[in-house]
Amino acid sequence: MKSIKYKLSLFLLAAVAFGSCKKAFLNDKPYDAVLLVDAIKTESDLQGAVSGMYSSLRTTDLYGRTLPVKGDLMADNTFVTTSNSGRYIPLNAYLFTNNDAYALAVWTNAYVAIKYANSIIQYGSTITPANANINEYLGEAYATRALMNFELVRNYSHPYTAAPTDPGIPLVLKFDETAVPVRGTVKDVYTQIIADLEKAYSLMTVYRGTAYFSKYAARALEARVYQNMGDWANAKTTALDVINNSGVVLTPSTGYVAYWNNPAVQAPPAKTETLFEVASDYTSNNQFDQIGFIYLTAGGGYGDILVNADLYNAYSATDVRKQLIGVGTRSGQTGTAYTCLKYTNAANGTDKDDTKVLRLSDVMLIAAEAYYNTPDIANANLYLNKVAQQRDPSFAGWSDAGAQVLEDILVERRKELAFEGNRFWDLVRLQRSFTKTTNQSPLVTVAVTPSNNALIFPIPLNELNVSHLQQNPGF
Amino acid sequence: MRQLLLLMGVVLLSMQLFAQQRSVSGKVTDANGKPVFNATVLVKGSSMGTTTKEDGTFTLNLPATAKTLVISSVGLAPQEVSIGNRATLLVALQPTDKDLQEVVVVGYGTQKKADITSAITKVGGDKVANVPFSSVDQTLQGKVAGMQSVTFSGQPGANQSIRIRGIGSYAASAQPLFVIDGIQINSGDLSRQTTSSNVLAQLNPDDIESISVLKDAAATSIYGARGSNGVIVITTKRGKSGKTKFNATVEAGSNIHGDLMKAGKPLRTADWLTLYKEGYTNSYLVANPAASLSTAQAAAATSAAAYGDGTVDTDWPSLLLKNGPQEQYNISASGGDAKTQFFISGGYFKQIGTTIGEDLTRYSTVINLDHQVNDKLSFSLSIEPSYTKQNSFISNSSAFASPTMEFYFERPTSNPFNADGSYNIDRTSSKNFSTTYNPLYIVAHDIHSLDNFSAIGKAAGTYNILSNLKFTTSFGMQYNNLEEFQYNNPLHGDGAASNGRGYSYYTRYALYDWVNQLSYHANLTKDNNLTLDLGAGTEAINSRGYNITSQTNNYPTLLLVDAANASTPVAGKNDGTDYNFASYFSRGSLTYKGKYILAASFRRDGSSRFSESHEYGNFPSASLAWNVSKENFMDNLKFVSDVKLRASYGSSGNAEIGNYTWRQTYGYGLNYNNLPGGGFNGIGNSELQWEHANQADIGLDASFFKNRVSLILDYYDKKSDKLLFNQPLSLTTGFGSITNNIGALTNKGIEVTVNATPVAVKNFTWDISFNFTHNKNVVTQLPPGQTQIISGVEYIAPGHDIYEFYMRQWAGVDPATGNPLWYVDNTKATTTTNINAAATVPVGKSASPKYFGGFSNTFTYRGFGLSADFYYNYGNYVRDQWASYLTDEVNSAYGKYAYTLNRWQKPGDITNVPKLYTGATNSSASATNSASINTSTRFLYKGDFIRLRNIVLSYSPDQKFIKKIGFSSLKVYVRATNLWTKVYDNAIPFDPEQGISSQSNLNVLYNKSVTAGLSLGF
Repeated sequence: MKSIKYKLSLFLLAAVAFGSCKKAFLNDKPYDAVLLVDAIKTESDLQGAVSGMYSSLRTTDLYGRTLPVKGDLMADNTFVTTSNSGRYIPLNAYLFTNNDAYALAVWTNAYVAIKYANSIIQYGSTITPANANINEYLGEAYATRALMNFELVRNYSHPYTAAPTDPGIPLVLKFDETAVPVRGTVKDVYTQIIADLEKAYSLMTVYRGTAYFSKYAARALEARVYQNMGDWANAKTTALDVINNSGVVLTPSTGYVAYWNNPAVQAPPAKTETLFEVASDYTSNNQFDQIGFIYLTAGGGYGDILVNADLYNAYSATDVRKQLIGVGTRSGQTGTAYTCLKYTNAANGTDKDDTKVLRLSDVMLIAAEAYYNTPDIANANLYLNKVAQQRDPSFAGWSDAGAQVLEDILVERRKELAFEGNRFWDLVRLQRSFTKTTNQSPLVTVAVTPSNNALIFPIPLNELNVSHLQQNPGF
Repeated sequence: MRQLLLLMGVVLLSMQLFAQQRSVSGKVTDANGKPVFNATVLVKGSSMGTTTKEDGTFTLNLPATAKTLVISSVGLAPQEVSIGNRATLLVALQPTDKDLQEVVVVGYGTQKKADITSAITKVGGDKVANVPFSSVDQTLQGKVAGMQSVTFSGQPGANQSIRIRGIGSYAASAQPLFVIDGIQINSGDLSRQTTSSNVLAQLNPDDIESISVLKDAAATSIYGARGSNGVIVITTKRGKSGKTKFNATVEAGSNIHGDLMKAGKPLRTADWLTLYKEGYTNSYLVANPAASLSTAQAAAATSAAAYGDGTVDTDWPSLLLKNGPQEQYNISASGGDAKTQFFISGGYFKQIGTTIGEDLTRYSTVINLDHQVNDKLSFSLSIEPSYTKQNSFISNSSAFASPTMEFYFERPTSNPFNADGSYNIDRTSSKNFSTTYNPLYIVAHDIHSLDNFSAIGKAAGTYNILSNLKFTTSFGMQYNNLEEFQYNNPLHGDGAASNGRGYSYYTRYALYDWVNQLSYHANLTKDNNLTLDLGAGTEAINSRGYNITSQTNNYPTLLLVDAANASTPVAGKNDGTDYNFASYFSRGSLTYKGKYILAASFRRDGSSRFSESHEYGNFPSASLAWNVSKENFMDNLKFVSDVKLRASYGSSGNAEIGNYTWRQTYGYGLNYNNLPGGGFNGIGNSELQWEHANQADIGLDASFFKNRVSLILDYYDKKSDKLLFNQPLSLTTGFGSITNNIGALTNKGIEVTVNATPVAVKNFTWDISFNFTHNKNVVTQLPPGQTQIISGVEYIAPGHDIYEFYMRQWAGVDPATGNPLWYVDNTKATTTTNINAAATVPVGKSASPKYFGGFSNTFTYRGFGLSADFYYNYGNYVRDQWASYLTDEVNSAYGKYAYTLNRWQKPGDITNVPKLYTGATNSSASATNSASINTSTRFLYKGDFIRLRNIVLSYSPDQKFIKKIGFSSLKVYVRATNLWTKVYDNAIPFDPEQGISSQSNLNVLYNKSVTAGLSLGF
């Protein structure tokens, strides 16, 4: 009798145990992610997705550091000093192998940003009813996709001004893991960029501050794209649209250093100098890979990259921009060491340096260059001097004629946009030859001509291993 | 609850059923007539019993029903004695046929060794006890044929890499499953902020009774989806009835850092400056072809002066390495009566590392209880809590704050101390720490700690429904609580940019593993010649990970390091990660006359790591064994003690991928401009399935000359398919790869174990143990359309070893010019000085050894014992990942390996170090030379070595003497680990044991230790 109860109770236990495996037992959901198809359903979701997209622009190998560094380092503005942490050596020396880490990182991160933009466009377009904010976010995604395609095409393809039918970069307009990427022509890429920017311009109506693309930031990018295409009529139209209608103004020279030292982005309605910048804040930043640490040693920086003496000497004593280059010494460097002071907040305890991507002075100089090419020398000098005399109020102004005007514009662009990653692209799109300093002690230089293969990155080996794209010459 | 009360009532009743009626006394001796102390004397079929006294005698009251006594003692074969009408019994126990009677722990139970049909290696607890390694997996190195156990860091408490029968996976983990007391535990490194930690370091090796390493499918298939990497089953000690026995061990000694290789010693100042100036001079002359040598040298001297006048000559190794004390104390008590047995232990282990700032302390306890209510019902309980505290600075190449990295990277010209003796933390001058940090200051002021509280607990009950049908339920839990703290001081190092930085990481894993099983044994024929064993059960595993992360910056004072004092919160978040398994398993075996054994198992596993359509998988196996020596025709071969042939085939799986990998997800944390942001971050794959491994194994177990020589041979062929691969995707998708079931690979190998006693004379014995493993790995299939998968130096392609290196072929230095040379392609016919003209190729050299194993010799003479265990590893190659900084002058600002002194200086010099040039410059000659540091076979070295892993000299006085002073056993010993290492490649700059992937990562040097200990039993 007792033993029966025993057995019954144990069998009961067994039954519970055997029957305990329910379907839900195997359905574990992640804590920090939702299913993609559920993610972007509301305006608020869309705003979060747009923030995520911008944060991807902040990575070290896009606007976080590599893009703005490359545009000066591969030109005649900066060089890597002897005592360095090993960063940016191939860019400094014009020596790339097909598995170059920077070529890989820029490619990878640009397409990650495009992936985010595409998912915003894909899912955000289905939110109904649309409103001004939703359209603004969609416009920002189109502008961001255009920005990334523009960076990709000029970093990995020959310039439009020299070889518009050379291979471009793969255009990805929708996520599809099975798609086989192909390189169309450079022209195809520029066509898509312009289309995206026109779409962005038509969608956007809300100004959200300098940390985000706005209608006129998209327009400014379009002006730069036309400048790189050598399409001067459109460059002029778009640049003037920005200058006349954006409401953005230049700061007086007395405020210019403070403008650079300020790590905060501008919230509406502020519209000074900047059209678009990629924000870093105290909690979201690249830590030791912040751009400031590559120039300065303070606060634990690497201080790898120094400024060419001739850039410093190019500024007049009364030019406020001269104050943005530090004069001192650096270990391993014989003589004076010039340092970039545009990014001084890497060790700041409340906010970090943002990376300026589009500024009004750049657009003004694009307008000047467009006038020069149309040709309208008077207006070219007018817009050139709007920038030059703003920075140096005691400067009498440029007043050259003929081809010299273009040279004046280039000098002013070099001085105005130093350390913002522009100089190299001016030299490349104009097919200039130049001398790049790779080391100052001992002095070593590279004579760069438009035929140098290192002017564009190799298509990364990792990409070629999978998708068999055509490699760039020399790799 | 009512049922429990009922059960208890039944228990009490049944205990009273046995009325005491008569008594029997007797004496138990061994084969030589010596009395056996503490032998167990039990009435067969009951739990009535006693143990023998020191003189071997016993007295026992018998119930009326008692017919037979079962007498047993450790190391002797149990014997059944019919009582009849006798009042006095004399019993002589025979020695065990130790191999055949041995019980081996297998999946979900135990088996007699004779009945085993699978490839299992058992390692006794005595082999791993009292060894000064922080975790038992380190001790297993070289002890098990087919198992590769590789250390990559000498940091106390570091994780260990283990591969059983080669690497069977690529993207999924290749580590074996660990099972402790029946619980499938979370193993490996659960920490998030610590360079390396190891769950197994929580377990005191002294508490281990035995370890079974399950290798073939017949042994691992019962673990189904988690078995394909092999299974390591650890069983802790349990009490034995009899007088309470105590065991105590006291051990202390010192750790000494492992040998620095001659080629890799950091250069001192005079040599360092010589090379610096030489590189500078050469570069200067390239840049200024018209300059004279003296001008160039003058410029070089000026440049070198930035690093000081040469009077500072810092010996970084001597500052960063030290001797570390080592101690451990263990005490255990074991005993009980016929019904209740207990094992209780407490242990303390402390190891101070040989690199500054590294240590591990462990406090561990075990309480194991077994209670037999009656002959139907028994319970057991295991509680194994332990606590470790680990301090370990970033101890690899990941930061300039890492002492092990600075060991190599610091310039000898930098002085870590100011004139007044304080730490030098200047970062402005090249004379000081302009490119790195002063590691001495960092270690003195920063904190990197891990407090790990963990507990394994299990309650189990067994009920004999019928005499041959048993039900067992067991509920086991594993709890790991990790508290990590990191503090970077505000003045110097990684915290300087944020005015002090603190991280507080809390990580908790809670796992339960509930197993219910029925087992059935039947004699199918009357003569017991044909027996059947069946088992079936269910298992449910649930693991929940939970973590909290906080980061704070801006500390007001150096005196307080906790986050409460910092002013700026940077991160504060919680997260989690869970998995579940739901499983059914069964097994059966049929034995005929003990000669022929046929066994099979089947498991069905469900896992949360796969989508609903793929969550279940089936894993069958079949095996057979033939005890040849039991055949009549073997009777004449007297020298053969035992011969068994085994064969098995079956399948097992691997599910060790991310808990949520299959889901296409949109994640958060992509914050921007102080607003939350998210994005499409998980590509997912709803078609993901188990990785399957089908393994065939043929084995031979034989022993000869009365077991004086024994041999175990295994040949295996393991085919893994539906391999979980991170299939590279075009980066234009925004993803680097997608996890997919693609590809296949095979591991084939031979395992040999030989144990022999060449000499066994009076007072002297010599035992030899040798094991050998050869494993060959070949990738057999890749995804459609892909001929190769390349990721850095890894190259995966059909016909190649999965660990084959992929890089340029180095062709040495041109004796005429000093320029580096590479081969244009793998034919090695043409050399080039242009690195871009040299193809990157699979070099035919693998990170996996061709052969490895261990051998040991043990000599005993009277009370003295001497044993030496060697570990050997042959046929792999090791890559120096950091040579680009540490040799040549391209990165001239860092410390240099000693071998850089062999640089090319003049035409005719034959060397492997090219002419030195400073920096990466663009003139043709030096451009070539600056490429010399690029990845190539130049930095690949032979990984062959033999290490004296363990040598012990022990002395145990005469038994009479021990008794006289009141103990039952006494042993004193001196032990040394890693005392001697023979490395076969003189050019290698570091120790060749660099983890499974054989790539140096500037980890903590391995340790040598010398300890002395006293072990007492009473």
